[in-house]
Amino acid sequence: MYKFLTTFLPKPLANIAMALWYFLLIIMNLYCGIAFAQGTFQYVGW
Amino acid sequence: MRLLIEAILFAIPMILLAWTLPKKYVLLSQIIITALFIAYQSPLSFAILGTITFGNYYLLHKAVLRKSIKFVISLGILVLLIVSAKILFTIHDHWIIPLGMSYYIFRNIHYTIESYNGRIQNESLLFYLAYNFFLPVLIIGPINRYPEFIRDWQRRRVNSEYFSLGFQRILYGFSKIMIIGSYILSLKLSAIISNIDESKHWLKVYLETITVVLNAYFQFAGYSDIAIGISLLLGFRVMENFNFPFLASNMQEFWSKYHMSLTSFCRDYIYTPLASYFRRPMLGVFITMIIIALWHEITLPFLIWGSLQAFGIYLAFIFKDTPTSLVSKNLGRVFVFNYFCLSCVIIDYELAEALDIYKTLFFIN
Repeated sequence: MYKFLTTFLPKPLANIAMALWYFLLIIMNLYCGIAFAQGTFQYVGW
Repeated sequence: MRLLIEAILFAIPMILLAWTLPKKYVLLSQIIITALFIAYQSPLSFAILGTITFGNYYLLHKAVLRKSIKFVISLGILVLLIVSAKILFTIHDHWIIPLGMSYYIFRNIHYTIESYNGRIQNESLLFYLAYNFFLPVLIIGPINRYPEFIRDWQRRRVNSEYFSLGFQRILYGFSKIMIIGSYILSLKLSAIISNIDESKHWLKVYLETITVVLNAYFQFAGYSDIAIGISLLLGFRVMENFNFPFLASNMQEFWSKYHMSLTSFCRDYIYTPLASYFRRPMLGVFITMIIIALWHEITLPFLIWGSLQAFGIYLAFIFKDTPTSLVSKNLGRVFVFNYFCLSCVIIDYELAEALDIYKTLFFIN
């Protein structure tokens, strides 16, 4: 993904975009994890 | 999920020790922590894995027998173990198969065959134990290979690239399991599907079918990502398990991108010997796909599922000389996706329910 971003963005901007992307994923995971722990949604899987 | 969280909790001290202890103690620490994890989860699984590991090592390297006899006994026992375990745990459906057994039996079969072929150079018990008691891949794979495992160990050094890649893979793995699989597909999309009007029953059934298969895929791919990520944090590059399988344009390509560690194992140790012995590639494909299916579960639905996969590969084989264009490639992708999703109905649902779904999807009254 970083390589893809650097094809059209300068490196500093690509770095910021990657940091934002990871931040978004972490926040989303935390949100899902907390919702799961509170029983808001059922985990469907193994 | 509880098992995954506990595996990660055991992996944390393993990673810390891996980079702080002197190198000669690292493998030992990994073996001990993995053994503690298995014993904590299921003492019976620990006893079985320990017996298989020590028994197989003793037979292959210490027993005073001819090499071919050792090979036949070892392979025979391992195959018998996996087949009998699968049959027993299918008959008694309240029994739980020992933790990771399907995977470590395959790892041991790989070790036995490679040892017989003389491709295993390092026959140390410590390495063999470390290979069998390697926590990240223990529960659901990937089925890593012994020579690569030893090579990674020998080349191992503090590597920032492995570290960042490892954390990235773990984050992606959790995202696949939690965000895509559990939240988007199982919660949000399922709610949308259940609100679809009954007059559009076909669409509802079709979307439900797809959701179940996609959820299973993202769960599995997520677990594999986490296993690969933890392995990278320990300094080992484990083989990939998925390579965008739903972008494949035929079933042959699909099966070279889906659960790759299992399919490459079956290609090397089942398909290639069979196809070269019988000189009939399709017979090899058929038997291999049946074995892959029965490896999951020895039941009639899985037998049918395996046959359907073999038939899909047969179709790819028939049309392999057809000129490909962008349109045909994309049509192939649509076909592969639908073929695989529809074939999975038979294993995802009870037989009667699966038949009802097929009747709805194919407009059979």
